[in-house]
Amino acid sequence: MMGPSLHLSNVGVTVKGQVLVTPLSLQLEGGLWHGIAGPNGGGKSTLLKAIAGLHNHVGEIALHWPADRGQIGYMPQLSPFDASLPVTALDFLRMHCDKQPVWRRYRGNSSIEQVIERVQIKGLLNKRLGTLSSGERQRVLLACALVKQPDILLLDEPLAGVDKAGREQIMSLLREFKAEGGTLIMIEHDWQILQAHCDTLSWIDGGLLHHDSPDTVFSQINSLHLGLRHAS
Amino acid sequence: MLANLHSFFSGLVDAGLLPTMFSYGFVVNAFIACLMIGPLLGLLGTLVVVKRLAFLSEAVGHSALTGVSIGILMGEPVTEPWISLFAFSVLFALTLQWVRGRTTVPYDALIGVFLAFALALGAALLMFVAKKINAHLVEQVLFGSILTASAYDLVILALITSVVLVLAFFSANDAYLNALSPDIARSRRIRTTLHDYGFVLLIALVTVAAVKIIGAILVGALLLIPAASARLMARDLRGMVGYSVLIATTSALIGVLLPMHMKWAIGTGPAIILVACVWFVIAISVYSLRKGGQPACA
Repeated sequence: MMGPSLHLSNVGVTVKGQVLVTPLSLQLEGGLWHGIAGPNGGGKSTLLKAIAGLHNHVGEIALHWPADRGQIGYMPQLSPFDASLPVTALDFLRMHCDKQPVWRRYRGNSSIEQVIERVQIKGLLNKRLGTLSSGERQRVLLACALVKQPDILLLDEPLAGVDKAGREQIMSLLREFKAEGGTLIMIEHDWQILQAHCDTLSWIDGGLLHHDSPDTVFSQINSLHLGLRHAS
Repeated sequence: MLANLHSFFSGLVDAGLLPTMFSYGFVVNAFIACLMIGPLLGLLGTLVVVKRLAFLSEAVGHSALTGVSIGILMGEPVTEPWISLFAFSVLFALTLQWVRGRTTVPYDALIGVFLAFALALGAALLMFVAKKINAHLVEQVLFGSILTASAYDLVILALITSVVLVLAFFSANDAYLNALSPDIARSRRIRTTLHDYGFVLLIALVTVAAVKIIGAILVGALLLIPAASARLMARDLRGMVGYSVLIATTSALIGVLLPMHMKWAIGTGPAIILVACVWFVIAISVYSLRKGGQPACA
């Protein structure tokens, strides 16, 4: 597997008259782990959604695939599920790739079986989505993002609400994905995680403010904050 | 073909295997209609519940009343105003979906506005309809009748059932994923707008298909109650669909046949919905027993 590179050219997002992301240009190399960080409400999730094709945008978003066009895996932000709805983790996974309708008996599916093994969610399959803990739900969402064997993963805060053990498990899966050649674009707030794992970091606050290695971006942000503090 | 079925049922009555009421053609028609309406509404009802759009099915059901009134005023047969019924229900559902995508009004409030409009227009037109025909015939449209399912109705019902079953087989997973997480669905290149329009269109079609038996006022209830009951009893989505189809089908069959057998003067629509409500009480009991009296989670 070789993940695609991503080229954003003057990409901006306006929703219902409100500018959420001012036009920005960015090049993200294939096969690397790219972090996106910035303050809340700065447009990180909006930009990721635009990349995933969920938001209308101006400018051009181009994925350059090294070979044939592959799959995109998207893991949205953790959102609550109705606990009383009888939708199990297996039902949810089946909706993603099983050719049999979910109302028929599950007869096994190689993609689903592989991802269950890989993400180690066998014990969660018969639990309702709404009764899973945050960490368990994130693992199920990650399994759903991985089930079609994507070449690029778009992750919106995959570690939100996940405990320490769960974090390590998810990070290990993501490291493995990168080692296989996949491209990762991940929104994350934890500076340590970004510094330890990401090859590049983009700081988004309404538009692109900084893009470089995580260490460089952090020093730029720090000096900016220090400058602001001194100025005030 | 329907004549052969009537003969077949008459043969079973003669052999003492079925009650004598099955020697009447209209009972056989209603029986066959229920065998299609049950699975149709039971299956689609699960999507109504997952999408939390119970109110939508009620609104589309009530719009059928207006469609029938327009049809009668335009000279369509009182018992078969198919063109206006189809046209108005479909137009109502599609317009609702179209307006939804272009306003910031919450969906439930928007449905409320459309429901009020359809009811007001229907009620206004009924005044003119009552001058033109016997008002009792309108009751059949409002509350359903075992007498009204003709061979033509059964053909239309069979066509709509076939369409829904084909779509359920090939698109159910995408439809449920879109209902649970539209963002993930869109990221997987599922055409969510098409699904949303298709969903309201199907609601309009099944409403029209079932309105002769169940009636305009209560048709939405048979989309809702079996699926809501199934939700309480099922452990997974497959179970929910299975229970919902079972409850909708048995409710329709018992609601049509029991009053006929007992010679009770009850409309088929109310009878079907009352049976469905019994199922709902059973479902609550099962749920309570399983939970050991703990309050339901939100």
